[in-house]
Amino acid sequence: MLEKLVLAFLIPVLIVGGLLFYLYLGEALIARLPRSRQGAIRPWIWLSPALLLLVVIMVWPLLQSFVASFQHVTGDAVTGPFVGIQNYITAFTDPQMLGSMVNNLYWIVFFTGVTVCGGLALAVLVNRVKYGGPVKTILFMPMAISFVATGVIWRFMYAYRPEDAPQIGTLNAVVTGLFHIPPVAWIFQQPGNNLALIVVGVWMFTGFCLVILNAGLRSLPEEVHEAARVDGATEWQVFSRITVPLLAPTISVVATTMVINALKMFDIVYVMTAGNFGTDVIANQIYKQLYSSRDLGMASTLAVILLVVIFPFMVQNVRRFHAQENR
Amino acid sequence: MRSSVMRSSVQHIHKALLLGACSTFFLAHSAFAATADLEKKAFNYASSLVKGQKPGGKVSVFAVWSGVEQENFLRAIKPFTDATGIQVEYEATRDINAVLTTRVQGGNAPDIAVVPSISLLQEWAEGGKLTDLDGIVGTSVLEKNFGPGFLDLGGYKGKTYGLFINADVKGLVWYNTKTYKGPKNPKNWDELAAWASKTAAAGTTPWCVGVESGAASGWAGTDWVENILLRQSGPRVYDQWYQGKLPWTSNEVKSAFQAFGKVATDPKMVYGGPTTVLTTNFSDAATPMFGNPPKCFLHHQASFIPSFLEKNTPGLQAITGYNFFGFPNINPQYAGTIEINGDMVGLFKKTPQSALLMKYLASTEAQSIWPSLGGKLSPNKRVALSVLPNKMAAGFQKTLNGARSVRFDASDLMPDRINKAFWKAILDYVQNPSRLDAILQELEKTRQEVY
Repeated sequence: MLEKLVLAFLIPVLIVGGLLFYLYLGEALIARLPRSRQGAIRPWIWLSPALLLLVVIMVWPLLQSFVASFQHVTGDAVTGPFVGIQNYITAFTDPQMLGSMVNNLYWIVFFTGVTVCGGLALAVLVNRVKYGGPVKTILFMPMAISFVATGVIWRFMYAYRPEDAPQIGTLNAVVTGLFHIPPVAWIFQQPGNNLALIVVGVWMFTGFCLVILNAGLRSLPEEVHEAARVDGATEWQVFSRITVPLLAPTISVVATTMVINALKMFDIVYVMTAGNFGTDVIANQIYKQLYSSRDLGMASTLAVILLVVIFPFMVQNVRRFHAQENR
Repeated sequence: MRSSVMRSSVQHIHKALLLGACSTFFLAHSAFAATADLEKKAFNYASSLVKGQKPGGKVSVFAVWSGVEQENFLRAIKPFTDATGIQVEYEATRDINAVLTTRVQGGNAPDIAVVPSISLLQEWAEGGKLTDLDGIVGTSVLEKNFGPGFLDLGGYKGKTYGLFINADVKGLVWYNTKTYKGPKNPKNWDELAAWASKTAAAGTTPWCVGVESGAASGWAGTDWVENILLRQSGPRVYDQWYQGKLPWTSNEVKSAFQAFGKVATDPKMVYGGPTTVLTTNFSDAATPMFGNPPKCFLHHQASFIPSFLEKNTPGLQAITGYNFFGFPNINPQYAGTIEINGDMVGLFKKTPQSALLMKYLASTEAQSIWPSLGGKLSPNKRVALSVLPNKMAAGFQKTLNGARSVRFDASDLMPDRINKAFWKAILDYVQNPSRLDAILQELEKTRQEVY
């Protein structure tokens, strides 16, 4: 135990010390070069530790996954015979995997839609009340809870007991106590159970959208709004014609982030239904392929597909950031 | 090849278990051995392993046992630490499959770990990730302590890699002693089913079933299907089935599913109907049986369930409050078959400390402690029946001893992918019984891909 603690403190110190030494050494070497070439070399000296790390823990595994996605790799092996696009064919023909992809589409549409629209509406509204700060804090709080804990909490929220037993789930207690209708097996009954899971994601991320969008709102020039109001625009017109277009870059960043989240969704599904009852998603399929089927090839294929789908959104996000920085 | 080994090996399990039978008779009247005595014996054994020295050091153990099971296991290894000064760093996860696989692959395996399935044991034995125990515990000691059945299950190519730590009897039917008025030792399934139908007609659901279990949901239903198939179609068909030689679309598998479905998908037969079956955790499933009024009278589960029953219904006591009988026979030709299960550990990193612990864990002294605390039986055939804490535990052993043939949990013997598909099939079937043929066809497709 003590050993581990000492190591935990020692290793960061060694890393920082090592880096400083490296930079010191690099600078010493650059100083010996002719002045005209110093400028060209210095950035690379400073960048290379980060680049090296990126190559080792990001680019290399990515390439490996890409190669493995065309191979039949099973068990503990890391490579296997090439099988062409066989894995990709399976990914797009196997009913379970197709079902997962369709579910990810549900997630993209409903999760992104509700978090962004809800976040936007709340962002505008909290600006108009005195207690906006506390409201933001409360709505942001679910973000502080881990996905797994959220899944567990919501399993209790959705808990189902037979009609004649006391309902321990909050939602079913309301349903049976207030509306006097039979309890609902929220996360088991198809097709609604996907939405029940998406609600959990929405609960987690709406606060996040709210905070980002609210920050964006506050940076908008107030005069434009004032001018529109003076010209007789209704509040709705101000919102839809002025606020939303001006906020578009921020909305886009938030929306793409949410789309990426929807595509990567794993924890909530794994904890709440384990992908059963038609709620499976691609990330959970990757997990199953890797640990249950022990099929690294197929898991890599799905990971590559996921990456390819996410990539454009990522590029879009980075571009927006650049655009905003250059403004 | 494996099939013939298996067939003979299970007969040996049976024989091994029979050895204990003679002492059963005296059990009812004799005092049960106190765990403290067993701990002292285990301490002495551990001391003898190190010849009174205290080598010290550490062993990492990675397992699936949490809660009471974890406490019991830790109590079983405490004498080892006391005697040798070797600290055991225990870690547990229910998701051992994923975590252990990753760690083994990454070359970061713990010293000793529970091996989650027979197929992984074989894979890791083949790949040299596991150390064989013949050189560590000694072949003769292994053979003296364990029946060939358990040794074969943990074996690969003539060597032993998996050491069984505990055992459960599966296929037991539990009832509330105070409310259950049906046959207490039904001579066959029909007799029990007839009583169940009568009870259902009178307005109370006879059965309580729950198959929810997080990421492992469905396994409780696979136990049902296995126990039914074993008694409908016999051990030979059962063996073919887990070996991947029997199509899932065969009549044998289908009729086992249907017999399970007659209970689990009929709202008159099972408390709360299929929705409750799917949404109820296996550990809570029997709780309504002890309600007032009782919501059901019968519950099918393995011999580990008493600790859950007693936790969920405070004050409930074995024998006076609840009891069990063996799953009734279905086809008289295969009468007296029983299903068992257990956890095994493997040695991933051989150090002087981990080798000592393996040796200790294989010993009769160490293996006596957990069974004496209740909840589990020992696969070590030299563990005396008298260590068991109560008459109920002795009763499990008696059920085992009375069995004509013994089989290991089939789904646990199947490759993991089939096992998981089987779990999922149970859920799909309970939710939508009319889809049975399609569900079995999906399983059959998986079988053809896997084997």
